[in-house]
Amino acid sequence: MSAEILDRIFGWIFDSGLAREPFTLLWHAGEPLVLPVAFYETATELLSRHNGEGIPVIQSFQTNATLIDAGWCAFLRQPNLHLGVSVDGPDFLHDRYRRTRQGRGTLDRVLQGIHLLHEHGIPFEVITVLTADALDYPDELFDFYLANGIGSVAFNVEEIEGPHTASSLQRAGTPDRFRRFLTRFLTLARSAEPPLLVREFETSASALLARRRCGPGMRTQENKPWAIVNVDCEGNFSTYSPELLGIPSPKHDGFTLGNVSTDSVEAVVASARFQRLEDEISRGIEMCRESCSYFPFCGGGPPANKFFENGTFASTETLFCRLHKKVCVDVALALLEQDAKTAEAAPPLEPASQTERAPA
Amino acid sequence: MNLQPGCRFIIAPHFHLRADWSRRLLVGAGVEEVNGCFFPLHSWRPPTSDELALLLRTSEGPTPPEELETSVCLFQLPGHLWSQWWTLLEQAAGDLGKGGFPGFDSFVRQVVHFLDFKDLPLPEGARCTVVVSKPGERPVNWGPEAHGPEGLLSNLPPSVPRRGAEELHWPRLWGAINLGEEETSVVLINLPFRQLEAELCRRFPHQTAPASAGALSGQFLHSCPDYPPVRLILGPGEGYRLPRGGLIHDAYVADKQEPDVLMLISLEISPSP
Repeated sequence: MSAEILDRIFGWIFDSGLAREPFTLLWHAGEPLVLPVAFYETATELLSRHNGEGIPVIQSFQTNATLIDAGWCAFLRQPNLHLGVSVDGPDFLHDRYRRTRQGRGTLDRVLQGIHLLHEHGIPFEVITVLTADALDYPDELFDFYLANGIGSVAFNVEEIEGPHTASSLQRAGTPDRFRRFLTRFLTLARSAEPPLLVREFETSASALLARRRCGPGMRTQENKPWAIVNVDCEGNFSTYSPELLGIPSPKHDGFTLGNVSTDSVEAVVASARFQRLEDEISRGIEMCRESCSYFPFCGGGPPANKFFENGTFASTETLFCRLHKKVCVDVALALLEQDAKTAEAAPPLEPASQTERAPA
Repeated sequence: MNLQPGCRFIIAPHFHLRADWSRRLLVGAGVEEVNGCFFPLHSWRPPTSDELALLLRTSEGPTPPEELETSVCLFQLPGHLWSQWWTLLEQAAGDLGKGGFPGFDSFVRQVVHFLDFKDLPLPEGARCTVVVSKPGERPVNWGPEAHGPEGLLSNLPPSVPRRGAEELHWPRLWGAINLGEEETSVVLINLPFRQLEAELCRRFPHQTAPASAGALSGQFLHSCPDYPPVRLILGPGEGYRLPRGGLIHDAYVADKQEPDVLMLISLEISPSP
C-alpha cells in the first residue's frame, strides 16, 4: 500500500463523517510486519494529519511475531498501539498448519518474537485458532501459555471462509468436544494465579450478566453497515465482515463497494447494490432474532460466516455460531452458576473485628 | 532366549509425547533370583529393529479399543499438574510422616479429572500411593502387603487364579506416574499370562500348569531366567497404564541419581459386578 493510497484512505475516512468517535485502525490480512517500520511511521503521521479533531485512534496489529526485532519493539512500545500475536499452542499443534514455504514449522520464530516482546515490556494478546486436533489438548495449551508468559488468549475456531472451504470442526460430535475442551480450559484458566484471561469467557459472561447484550434493533460490528470499513492496498473498500473484501460473488457483484479515490460513502449508501446487500443481511439478522434463543448474546452473527457456509446472508445458523457463540455462552453460564453455588455454600465472611481477635 | 511377541507399547490416544522408542525401550539379559525374588540383571541394550517391531504397533491409524486394552499405554501429566505436585510437597515439608499429606487428595482428584478428560479413566475404587525410593535401592513393590523389595511380580495379587486373570474385577496395579524430576524406568516381561503359560507348557509339557497368578509368574521367572525383560524409560511427569491382563513388572531405579518418586495407581477394592 503506497503512501499516496494511505493518504487518500485517511482523507476519505475523516471526510466521510464515519469517524466520529474513538476507533481502532487494524492492520490485518497477510502479515502486517512484512512492511518496514517506516511504513507505519508514515501511516501514523498521515493519520494524524487528517485527524483534525483529534479523535482517539488505536492502531492494532495482528501478527505472527516471526519478524519482531529490536526495531519493531521500539515502534510497538508507543502508546495507542495494540498487538495481537497469532500462535496456535505447542509445536505439535502450531507447526502442523503454520509453516514456512519450505515446509518448516514457525513456532520457534514466533516464540523468539514473543520473548522479545516480553524483554521490551510490550503487552500483547494471543489469538489461537482451534482445529479439531486441538480440542484434545486443553491442558497442553494451558501449559504453553503459562510457560510463555501469555496472560490473555482469544480462541478462533477454524472457520469456513473464502478459499478455506472446509473445517476440521465440521465433523460430527464437535460441539460436544468443543464444550468439553472449553470447560476444561476455562476451569484451568480461571484457577491460575493470576487468572488467564480468555476472550470467549469474558465476552460471554458480560453478555450473560446483561452488560453487553444485543437488544432489539442493535447489531454487532460485523453486521452493522459502516461500523467496520475494510480497505485493501488499492483503496477498494467494503463494509461488514472484513473477510468479504475481495471475495467474488456473481449474485452480489462482489463485495467491494467502491474506491476511496472515486466513491463517496453517500453515493455508495444510495446505490441499489448496497441496498440489496443491506436488505439481505437485515433479513438474516431478523431470521436469527425470530428463531434463536441465543440472539441477545450474538446479535445475528457475522455475515461472512452465513455467506460462506449457507451461500446467502439471509440465513441463520453457522458452524461459527454453533461453536463460538452457543457453546461459549452455555459453558460460561455453567461456570457462572457453579461460582454462584460455591459462593452460596461458602461460610459468611467474619467481620474484621472478629478476624483480628486472638484465638480463644 | 529371544523376545516373543506379546503386549505392545503405544502412546495413549489424545496424548502427545515424543515416543522415541529406540531410546525409551531397552532389552535386558534376563533375571536373577535372590532369596526367592526375581530381579532384572543390570545389563541393558537398545532393541534391535526386529525387537522393536515386536514391541510396537506397526499399523497406522487410530488404535482400536481392544488393542488399547492389551497394550502398555504411555501418557503424560501436564506441566501444571506436575509442578503442583512439587509445590504440594514443598508446602507439606515437615508435616510428612505425621500421618497426613495435606492437599494430596485434591491433587489426586485433579489427576483423575485430567485422565478422565483424556479418555483414560481410572477404575472405580482406584487408590493412589506415592512410593519414594532411594537411588540405587530396589523399590518396594505394589500392594498393601508389600513391605520390602520383592522384585518382578504380577500386577495382580498372587492368589488370583490364572484362569480369569484378564477379567476386570480383580485388584490390580492399573499403572504409575513418574512424579520425580529425573527419568525413571519400569521393567516388564512383555508376555501376558496366557503366553507365559503357553511358554511354560512348550518348555515343560509334562508339568502341571500353575493355578494362581503368583505361581505362574514365579514359575516362569524361575524356569526362563534368560527371557529378556523390557525396560521402559519414563520422563518426569510421564506415566503408563498396564494392559488388562496380568503382567509381570517392577520399578527399576538402578541408574538414578535422585530419589525415585512413583505414584502407583491401583485398584484395591473390587467394584460390584
